[in-house]
Amino acid sequence: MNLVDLSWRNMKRNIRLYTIYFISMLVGVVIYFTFSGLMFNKDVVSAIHNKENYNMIIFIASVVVFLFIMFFILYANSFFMKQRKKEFGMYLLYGMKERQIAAMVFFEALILSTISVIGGILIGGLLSKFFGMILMNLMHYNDSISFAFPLQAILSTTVLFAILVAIITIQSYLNISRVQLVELFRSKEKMDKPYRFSMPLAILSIILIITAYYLLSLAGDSGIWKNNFRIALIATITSIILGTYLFFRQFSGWLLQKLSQRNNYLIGNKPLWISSLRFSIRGNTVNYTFITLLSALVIFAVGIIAIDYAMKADVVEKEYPNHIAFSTQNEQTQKRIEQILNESKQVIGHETITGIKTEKILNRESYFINPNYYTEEFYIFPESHFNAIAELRGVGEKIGLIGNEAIVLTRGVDEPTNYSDSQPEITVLTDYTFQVIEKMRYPLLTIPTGEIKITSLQPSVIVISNEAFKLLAEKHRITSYDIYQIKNPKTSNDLSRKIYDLVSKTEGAYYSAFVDMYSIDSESSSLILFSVAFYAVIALFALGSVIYFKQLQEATEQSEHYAILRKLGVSDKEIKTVIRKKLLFIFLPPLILGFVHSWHLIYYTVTALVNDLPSLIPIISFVMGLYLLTYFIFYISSTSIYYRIVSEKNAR
Amino acid sequence: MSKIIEAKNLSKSYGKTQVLKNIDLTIEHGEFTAIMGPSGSGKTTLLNTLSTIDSFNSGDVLIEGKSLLDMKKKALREFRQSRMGFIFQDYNLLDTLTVKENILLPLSLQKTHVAEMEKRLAELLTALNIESILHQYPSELSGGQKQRTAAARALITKPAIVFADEPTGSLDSRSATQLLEQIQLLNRTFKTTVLMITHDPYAASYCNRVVFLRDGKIVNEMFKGDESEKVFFDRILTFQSAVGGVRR
Repeated sequence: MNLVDLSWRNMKRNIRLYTIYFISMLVGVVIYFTFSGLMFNKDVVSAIHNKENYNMIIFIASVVVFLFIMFFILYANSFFMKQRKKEFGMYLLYGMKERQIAAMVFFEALILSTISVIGGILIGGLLSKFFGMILMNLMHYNDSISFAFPLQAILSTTVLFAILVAIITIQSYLNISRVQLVELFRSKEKMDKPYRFSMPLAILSIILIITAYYLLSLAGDSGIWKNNFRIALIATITSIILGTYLFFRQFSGWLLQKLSQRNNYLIGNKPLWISSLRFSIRGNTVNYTFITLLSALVIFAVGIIAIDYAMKADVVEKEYPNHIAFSTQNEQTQKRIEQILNESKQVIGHETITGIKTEKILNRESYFINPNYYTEEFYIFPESHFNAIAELRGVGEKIGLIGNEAIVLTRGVDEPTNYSDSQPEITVLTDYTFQVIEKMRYPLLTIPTGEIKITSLQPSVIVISNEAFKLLAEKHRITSYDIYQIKNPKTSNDLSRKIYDLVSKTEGAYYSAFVDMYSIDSESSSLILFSVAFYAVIALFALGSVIYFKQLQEATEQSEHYAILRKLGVSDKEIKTVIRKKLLFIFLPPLILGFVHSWHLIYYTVTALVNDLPSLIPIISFVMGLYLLTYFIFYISSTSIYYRIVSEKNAR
Repeated sequence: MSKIIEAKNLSKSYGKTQVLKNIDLTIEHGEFTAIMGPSGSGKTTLLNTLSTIDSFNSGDVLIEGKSLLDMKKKALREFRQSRMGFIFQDYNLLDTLTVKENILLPLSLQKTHVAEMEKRLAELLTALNIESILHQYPSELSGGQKQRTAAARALITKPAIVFADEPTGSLDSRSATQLLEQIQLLNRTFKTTVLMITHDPYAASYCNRVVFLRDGKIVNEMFKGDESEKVFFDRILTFQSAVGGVRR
């Protein structure tokens, strides 16, 4: 019997423990490989518009995935080390060296990771088509994706997991060298005392949590967050974490103590699960806190991203309301464009507007908050054309201007303003001066898209009265713009490409389409949604494993306790009930608190950014529902595993 | 007879509490000795220091004439491996190995020949009555069977001395008697030296020498001589009640 043999047997006999470890590792590899695979998948990469952005998001995502896997596996490994302390002690007693035991653990980690890396890459490769398709679907692309096993991805997965094995071995070696032989002679005598709660600390926990919620509720309208963002953030996070910890440590102890002092305490199986919980509070506090915070984080992240994804179309719609807009071309090109549009059978509306481009206007600070985002030249349009577009879009109110009144059009964060007394003046085309009566958030001409650059600027637009415009038009060159509204703007990629190809042949032509911006935005928010969904899966796995390990350990430790109960004549059915109630108390509080935390986090974050979002509550409910379902599955399987362990040991 | 273990003026303390106070004790080759005493008298600590598992503060322990003070960690490990056997109250069997594999583990780790392993195993099989359970796993065994497996594991290396920490502590009286008789038999046939800790006068009555420990000091010593277990048991009990040791 050599070392490899010993470790192989050990794995075979401890199959239950190793299975969860192995599955978690396998899922880790599949997810990591999926991410690095997507980075190198030719089909996916060729479909992506903004490749730099894509690579960066995927790279960051895979680093985060890897860090997560690493922490999880280190946790699992230290759990194993603790479980096997006596076994290692025996090996040491019979003359094995620490180094040899570490070598044994190394073999185990090697066997496990080799299988999971190979298996994970195979599964990940087969799933690459599926995940690629999900990603394309989220982005509303129709490209087909094939199975892929990119070499770079295989290499990076293998290398990273080799590093992981090395880290595990070092951790194990450090653990083994701390094993004390004396411990072998101590039989399990450790006695827990029921935990005494401290009233002030129990109250403090509630105060801390309420403070955090209060701080969050200020996010929308208070200067605290604007002026001292970092301090406010740290204060909120600290009080949430500390409050949660104390809540479980002190408040739950207090609650159980109150329960045990009630009159009907001694009736039924209450003493069984209440006392057992009181004894285990100390060991469970960290777990409770971890589960609560992780639940809150997962729901928060998924919720926010889902809301972002849902809102994305609205935001782009607001900033890019023209589905297709271009400066009118020469007759021949114009005809071809019309032909293309007619063939597409998409057009639902069309307007041609005419404007005058001015010289560069300096000092635009009086009209815009961030003048750098706007062109230096202004585009002047008559009120009638503005009204025509408002009618075409079905958005915005019609305006009426007289004399030298003018309206400046803005976008984004520029607040709409009505100037009643001190109206700013604007002088264009050297000697025409207008009074700005209003600043309106209405992008008449949108940012040019065709070739999207970060430096692309929003055209500065003023609208003047028809009479004033007529006067100007006599002496200045006018340009016209064709604006089309179409049926399915989100999928008009090809149409937009075709028209842009024609328009771009003319030097200095203007082109802007909703779908161009929408695709890019949709790419990044789809990617983020995709990544966050994966994090959620890993986080759930980590959560599941933490619960699973803990229950496994507790069930094993307490099996004698249940043996006594059985000898006292407690029926199997009743033992099941006891376990179910006990685990419910372990599962439910962190879930509830996690839900309340995440509700506050999402609600106040979103309302601080957006004024009203009707889909907010359905989205949050959906995410929470999904989480609840997963969590419920954990609960059910934990009770059944617990019961099985407890009954197994009593079978003798 | 040669001295296997010799403790000279041995003292040990945990922080401020002195657990062993100037102990002088010699264990001769082939002796079956019990260390008795109430809880907290320092029995386990004495066993741990004599068996090199725990350190001591002053004095010295000589094993087969060699001072522990002169030995390095590596030498200690080799010494433990080849010259000592251990039996624990809660067995410390590895759940993942069968009875046979558990027993042979020390030899496996020493890379002994298979033929030699089988030969040594055969010698112990009848004495400890474990033939029928060889291919079972610890989880399928009774307490007595587990402890007999642990005893076989302790003896398979043919150690100079076997340390047993309350070996009957977790057993019912029938299994305890059986185990004690078997250890006694092994001690007689193979001349294996056994040092056993117990608080049970009945278990102690199977030994040929009993050392009484109280508050970290040796307070008395008894030899069985040719007496029967019954007579020796009564003598132990009488002494215990005389010094106020509580019979459990």
